[in-house]
Amino acid sequence: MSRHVSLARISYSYLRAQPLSTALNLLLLALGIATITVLMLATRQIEERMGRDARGVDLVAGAKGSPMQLVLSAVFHLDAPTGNIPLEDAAQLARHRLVKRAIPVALGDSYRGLRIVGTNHDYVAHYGARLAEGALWTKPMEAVLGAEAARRTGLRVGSGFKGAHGLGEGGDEHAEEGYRVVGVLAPTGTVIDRVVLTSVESVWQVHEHGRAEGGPREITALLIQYASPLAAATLPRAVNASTSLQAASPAYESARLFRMLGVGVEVLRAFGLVLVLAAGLSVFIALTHALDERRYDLAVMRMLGASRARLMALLLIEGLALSAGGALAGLLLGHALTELLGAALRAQQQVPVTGWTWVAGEWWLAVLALGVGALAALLPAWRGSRAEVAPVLAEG
Amino acid sequence: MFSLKDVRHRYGGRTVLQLERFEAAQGEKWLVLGPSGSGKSTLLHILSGLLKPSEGTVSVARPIGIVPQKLHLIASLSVEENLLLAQYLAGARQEPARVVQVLAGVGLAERAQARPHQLSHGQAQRVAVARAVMNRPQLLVADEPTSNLDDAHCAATLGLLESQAAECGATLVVATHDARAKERFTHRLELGA
Repeated sequence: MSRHVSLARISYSYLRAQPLSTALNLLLLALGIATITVLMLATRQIEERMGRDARGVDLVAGAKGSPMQLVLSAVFHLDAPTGNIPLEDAAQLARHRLVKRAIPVALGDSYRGLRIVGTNHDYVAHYGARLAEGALWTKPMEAVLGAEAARRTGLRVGSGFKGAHGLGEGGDEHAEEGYRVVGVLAPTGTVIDRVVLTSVESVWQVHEHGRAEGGPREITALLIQYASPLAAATLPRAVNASTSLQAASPAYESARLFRMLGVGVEVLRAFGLVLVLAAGLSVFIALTHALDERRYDLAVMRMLGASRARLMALLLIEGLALSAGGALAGLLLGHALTELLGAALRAQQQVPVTGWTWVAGEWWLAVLALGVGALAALLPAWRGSRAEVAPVLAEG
Repeated sequence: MFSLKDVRHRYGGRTVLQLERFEAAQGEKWLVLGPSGSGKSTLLHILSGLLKPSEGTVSVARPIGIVPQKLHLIASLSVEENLLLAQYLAGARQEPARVVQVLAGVGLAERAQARPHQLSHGQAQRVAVARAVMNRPQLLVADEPTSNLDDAHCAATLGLLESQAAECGATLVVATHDARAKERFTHRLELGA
């Protein structure tokens, strides 16, 4: 079969003729792009998801301890609670004039690693969740499953299950009390998807035997929405100073978390950039080296009528082809790695991350890769195009 | 088909070629003889337009086909692609049918998909000739095409150049220091050392 010759075809033939060098350049660039892609996708999704999960929660009140731990446990359901707080204190705070809405959260048990959250119907309304089937709980020991929780457990309306002590997988089951599923929520893309909801009374009932006779009722935390912007300045300080409770701001703690993680993310991002630049250097070295090997070829092409611009384009195309291939491979690898990371996080009931998404920054990443390739090829291309023909052919 | 008048070329302060007049008509066969360093390659490069002489006027009918001394086929391309490359880089329309025709003319019809490293020296030389005539040149120049060849291959190579030039109606100029070529050419230009 006849084929026509073009600059792209000639560039491809040269790349194919040096498989090791080509593969090394592609690999270097792909690794750099993949590293940055994973960071870009993961941080963007985690930030967005945590932003959605914390939206509308101005303050979390819970037991004294680490404020970040309190926010991570009560809002994002990612960490162990700092402890419990007396219901009396929580109720008093809920009645504060600067509090518009206070949603109780009672934690302690889980089912197959999914947290059982004792709360009220305001929690469902807060996340804008709708029922996919069944109804919300009306009595103790009735449970409503988030969409993801229902998918993972396979439980349906009418199913029964027993909660286990603790918030991770592998806790001992409560022997006496069993829950009955009365509803399943539609997906919301928020934290409510991956929890099991029930009434606070259910949590108390399950742990009744552990409570001292006549001892005070407790909950884990209160999710608070301010009545006015003024509350942000006074309420946290008032809570922390005058009661046994601790107040933590999800916005502040999330930002603090990202600042702390940010150092590592920046280091990895810099590492990715170094790999991309190293790939550019490698392309530069490969093309410069190729000039020596191809001086006869370039002279022959000039002899056959190729203009200097055409020779320059030939070498530029080679650099661009390498960088485009590396960028494509890097983006694919980055998305695949992000999906693997997401699968690992999903298995641990953590923040969901997926590789099946695209963020605008990736276009810039592709542009960066092409720019590095073009820049790396520019000098060798210019030198190649200036090479004299007659002296090279005369050398023989 | 070409005309050189009062051509002088200097390289590094030294005159490497000096010609008062050198002209050839269409279809003529010229042999440029001379020892190494006599300026044969320089003359061919000037005729081919690869080199601009320091002085003098040059007029050459185009296109020009060149068979360089070391052949210089592009190793990463097939024989067919090497031939199409000559048309592509000259800005001509690529004609796969012409590749078939030219390869048949040099006896390599079956080697179109071969890579240069899979060819013998003789076959590579025929491919280089085929590449030179792809664009139906008005002038066909060959630099030392018979060096290191035995008598039989020397005659075959010169015969191939003659037949291909004749097929295109091209003027043929062969530069060599090989005296065996003398008898085949009626027109000769002898350059001194």
